[in-house]
Amino acid sequence: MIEPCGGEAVAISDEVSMTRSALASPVCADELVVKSPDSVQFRALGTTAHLVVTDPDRLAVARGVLDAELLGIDAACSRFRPDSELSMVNRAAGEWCTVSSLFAQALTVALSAARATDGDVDPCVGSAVVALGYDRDLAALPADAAPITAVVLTAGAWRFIEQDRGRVRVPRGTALDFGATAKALAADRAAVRAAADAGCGVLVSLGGDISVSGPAPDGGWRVRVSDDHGAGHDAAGQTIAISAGGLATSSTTVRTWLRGGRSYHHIIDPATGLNPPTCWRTASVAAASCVDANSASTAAIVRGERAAGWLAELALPARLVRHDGRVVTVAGWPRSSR
Amino acid sequence: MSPRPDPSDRTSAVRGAVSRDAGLLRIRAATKGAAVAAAFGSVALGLVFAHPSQSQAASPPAAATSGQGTGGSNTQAASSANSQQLAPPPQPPADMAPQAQPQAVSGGS
Repeated sequence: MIEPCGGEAVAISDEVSMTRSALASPVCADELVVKSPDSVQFRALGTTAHLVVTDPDRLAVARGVLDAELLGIDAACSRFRPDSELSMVNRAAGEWCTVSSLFAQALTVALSAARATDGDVDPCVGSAVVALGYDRDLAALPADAAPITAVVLTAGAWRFIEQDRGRVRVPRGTALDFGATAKALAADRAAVRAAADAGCGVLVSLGGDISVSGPAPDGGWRVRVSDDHGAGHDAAGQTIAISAGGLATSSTTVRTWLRGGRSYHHIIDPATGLNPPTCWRTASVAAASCVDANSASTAAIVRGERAAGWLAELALPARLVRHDGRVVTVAGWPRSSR
Repeated sequence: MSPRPDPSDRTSAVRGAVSRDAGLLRIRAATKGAAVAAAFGSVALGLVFAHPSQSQAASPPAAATSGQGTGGSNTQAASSANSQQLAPPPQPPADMAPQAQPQAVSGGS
């Protein structure tokens, strides 16, 4: 989910130093973590942005590109900013709105994800997310709130969204939420542009949604796959390497809150407007892009037991973790060496 | 989306019997026209499902209350008409030794 800055604390390990420097992000300039000459980590979009380059001398160039993409995607797609284009379109549901090319692309990507997942990744779940209680920055949510009585959403409304030369109209009563695709889109856009401008290999991670572009390091980009992107490199999971495309993990154990003593998370089953039935704790997918990876990992959580067969059919390497910790790997995802 | 008949189509032979209203054909002829209207209606319906996101004429479906899950069959139909797949990576991920220092973490957020 796209969120403004603030709230959650950044986990800082022993080898990480906190500093404020010329690399500070305009997205959230007061929380910056520099880890090494070839990488930088900072708060953005309510989560952690992480940039790694193969040429340390080009880090600042890549950072400039990433900052610009973060500012753009936040202004276009934030559900928590009343002045964002997404908020404007939602307020004007039923009427045509003129939008930027970035918003139009984000909507096109979201609709493509909906089509590719038979509607399991639905950009029209905004009202359901709010009804479940996720109506503000996660850190600002109350410890517990009143039980949920009903969730109403328009089934399949994404099929009736209209786009026409920079204008958009969503059905009346519908609220967009690009939580399943916008961060991934920003990661893809930033990685491609940063690699081109910096002339080196680039890894961009936005809250664990990873996109890589340009020449990879020897052996590939090493990525720890775990339940929580903020848990650190030593968290339970598996270390893998990717050389191109994207990698995303969706989890039902992170970004959770209480309503009436019951825990909810941010992944919505569009068929019900509620969290999908419990099956996978975590779904990680590698794909040609971060958008495809995140669309597939989100759909896997929604699809439950049907996910493994669906991912195999699409030849999407995936690692699915059941709630008891058992791991299912699909389509060439490597078995862990330990 | 406004279906427009091909002038060479045999239905165009129904002279003066066809007019357009908001992109939909209205057939005035009583007997023959009913069959023609049905044919065009099918075409229009097919086009609506084939390009749902650009449909100007389609109306949103009725709201569904939690647990009813009413969108299934239509969603399947729309998806098959807009076949679009998520693409796999050029190479599958490779397992790394546990001691390999990760450069990034992929996890829930």
